[in-house]
Amino acid sequence: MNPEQQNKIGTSQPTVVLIDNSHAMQSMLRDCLLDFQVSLLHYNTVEEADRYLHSHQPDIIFLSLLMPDKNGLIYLRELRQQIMHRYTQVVIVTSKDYEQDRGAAQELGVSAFLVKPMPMQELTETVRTCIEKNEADIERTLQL
Amino acid sequence: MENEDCYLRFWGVRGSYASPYSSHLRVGGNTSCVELRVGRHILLCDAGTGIIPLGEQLMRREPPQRELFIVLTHYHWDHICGLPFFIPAFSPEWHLKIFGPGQDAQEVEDYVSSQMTSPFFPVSTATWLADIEYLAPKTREFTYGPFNIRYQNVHHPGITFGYRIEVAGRSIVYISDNECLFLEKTITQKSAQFNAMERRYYDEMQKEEYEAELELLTGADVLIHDAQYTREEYDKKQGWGHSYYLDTVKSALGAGVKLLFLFHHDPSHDDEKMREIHYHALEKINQYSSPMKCLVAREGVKLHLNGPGRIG
Repeated sequence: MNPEQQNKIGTSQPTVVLIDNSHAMQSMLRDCLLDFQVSLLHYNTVEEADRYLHSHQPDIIFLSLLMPDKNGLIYLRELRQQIMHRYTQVVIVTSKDYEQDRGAAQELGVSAFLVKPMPMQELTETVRTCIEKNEADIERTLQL
Repeated sequence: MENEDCYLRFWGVRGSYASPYSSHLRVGGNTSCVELRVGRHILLCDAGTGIIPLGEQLMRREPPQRELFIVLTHYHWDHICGLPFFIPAFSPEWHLKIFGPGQDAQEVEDYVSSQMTSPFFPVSTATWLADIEYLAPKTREFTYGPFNIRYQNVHHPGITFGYRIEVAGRSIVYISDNECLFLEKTITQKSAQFNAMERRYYDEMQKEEYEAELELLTGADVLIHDAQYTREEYDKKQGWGHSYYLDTVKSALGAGVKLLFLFHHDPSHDDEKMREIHYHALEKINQYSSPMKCLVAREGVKLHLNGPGRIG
């Protein structure tokens, strides 16, 4: 079992991080998370989020591409270089609907690429899928 | 400062690919390159084919110039394809600084160099004799001589920057490639599918994105902005990363811009078509009773930045 998985087992409530300078997106995601026992942390800049992610591993990161202080794809690449976030589930939420961005995000192992305006149902389903995947990963690890 | 050269000059104004046709000569056929000069300091925005004639001029210039700074918006071909033919890069006396999107300086160098590899080009950047310094984003703002430069991510495929440059008491915003008001359009198109809660959130999101989009442009003295498509073209090419020219006008009006240059012209638009686009843009501005001036960016046009902003 690797250190990040050990860390997850000890966590009682999944944590979702949103890195997006949109407050409307924060409110929408919070509504979508009502069905889940999770806590949501919202950061308006990459710099603020990075301070938290430097020492914490959330269960899901929702990341916007057009951040004011750093491009989301560049930040995602930096995150993937950190051992703690190599496999953290990252969902892109953006208004940019371009093949080039989707391709780059997929290469960086994102769990989903959601284009605004997406139905809230899609957001909810994505959260559910990510949580289930995390649980399955832990289950698989425990069976080893 | 007043006695120094202090101007902005267009060397390349086309988008996508060069269009050296006789029907396009009034506007020009070279791809993106804009020179900002204050005395001995030269800042170039993008390195499309327009940089090639600029390089030739720089080599002839007396007294000789030996340093310049290039800011790249992104690495699509039309913005870097002039570099392999930029003579100062092959000259050992020169010092070039090249800034663009990337995680670090090595990545910027890799992107610039990759177009000069076999079998696509006969020589590599190893043949560049100039002292080349590659720079990657570290802070949101930096300076080069008298230029204060700020950048922001814009709406275009891949990582693309727009720049706001403050110099000689003027603010010049250069956004060569940007699909403006994209979220607003997609929300409008999909609004029938939303429930009341979604509609409320997306109305709010649209306002937030609009404000964020205008942040770099607000109060600019000069805005050079993507205006590639007509309405009909945009309808077919929505999601290609470029703007319908009246959306550009709308954004510029919203941001209180003083002078708008329509830029990154579609290569299929000949001089006559550009006249038509310009006239239509002016009509729209007139409807809003706005004092904003609007011009079509043309190769060779020079805007003097000191004094009253004379165009030569």
